[in-house]
Amino acid sequence: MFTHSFLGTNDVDRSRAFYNAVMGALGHAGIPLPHGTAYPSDSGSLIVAKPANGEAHTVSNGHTLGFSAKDTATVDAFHAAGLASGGTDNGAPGIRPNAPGQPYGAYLVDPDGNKICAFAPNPNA
Amino acid sequence: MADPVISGDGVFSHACVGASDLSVSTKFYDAALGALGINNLGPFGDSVVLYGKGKPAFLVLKPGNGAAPSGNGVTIGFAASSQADVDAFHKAGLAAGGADEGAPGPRGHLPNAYAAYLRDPAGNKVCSYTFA
Repeated sequence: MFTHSFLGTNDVDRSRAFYNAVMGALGHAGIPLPHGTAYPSDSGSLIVAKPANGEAHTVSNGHTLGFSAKDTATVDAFHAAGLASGGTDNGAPGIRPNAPGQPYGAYLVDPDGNKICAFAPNPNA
Repeated sequence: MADPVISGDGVFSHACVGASDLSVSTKFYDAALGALGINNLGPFGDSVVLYGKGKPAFLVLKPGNGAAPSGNGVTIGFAASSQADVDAFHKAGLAAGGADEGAPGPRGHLPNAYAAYLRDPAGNKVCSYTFA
């Protein structure tokens, strides 16, 4: 359904260190670009880069980007990798009772303020 | 939906975008995403509307902190199965409260890419791509 998502950054090196860690935990390798980093995949690609309009990246209130994780251990690894690489906790790993399907998820805020999460299927379902 | 489950198909499990007025934003997404076969799956609680192909994967919502949607740098791209579907996405979005951010046509930065860009009524940037 998604071809890609683009997240803005104001510091390419800092965001690359963070996303190499969290996307690596999910099994996706990064490719450096002049103004950012791409994480390509046949089922959708992530691009983290400086905004194309030349203006500063600013936090998009209301936006969250969710990534698929195959199991709860992968969600845990995503969260730990992000915290160790410049991210901020925005929700510890665990069942999300208020999300559709009650997945197992964890939330982070990246070094630029973007909110991301990883969801795995509910282990009790 | 009785028991919606986040799609989880592909790299992305889901994406959320903020709305200032849910009825205005959902009118836009009903039109633009409907052209791509991505349907309004109904509300989830009072402040979220779910979209997807069968299972929800795109959520239009009132931001949980009560502040208005904002920001520069985020774009979400939706897959289209043909250039005609990209054209339909753009036309439907413009007619339903969206603003033009790039007319349908080839995009030279990727081989065989044909795309169109819109801003939704809350200012979020969305686009549709096909490589067919």
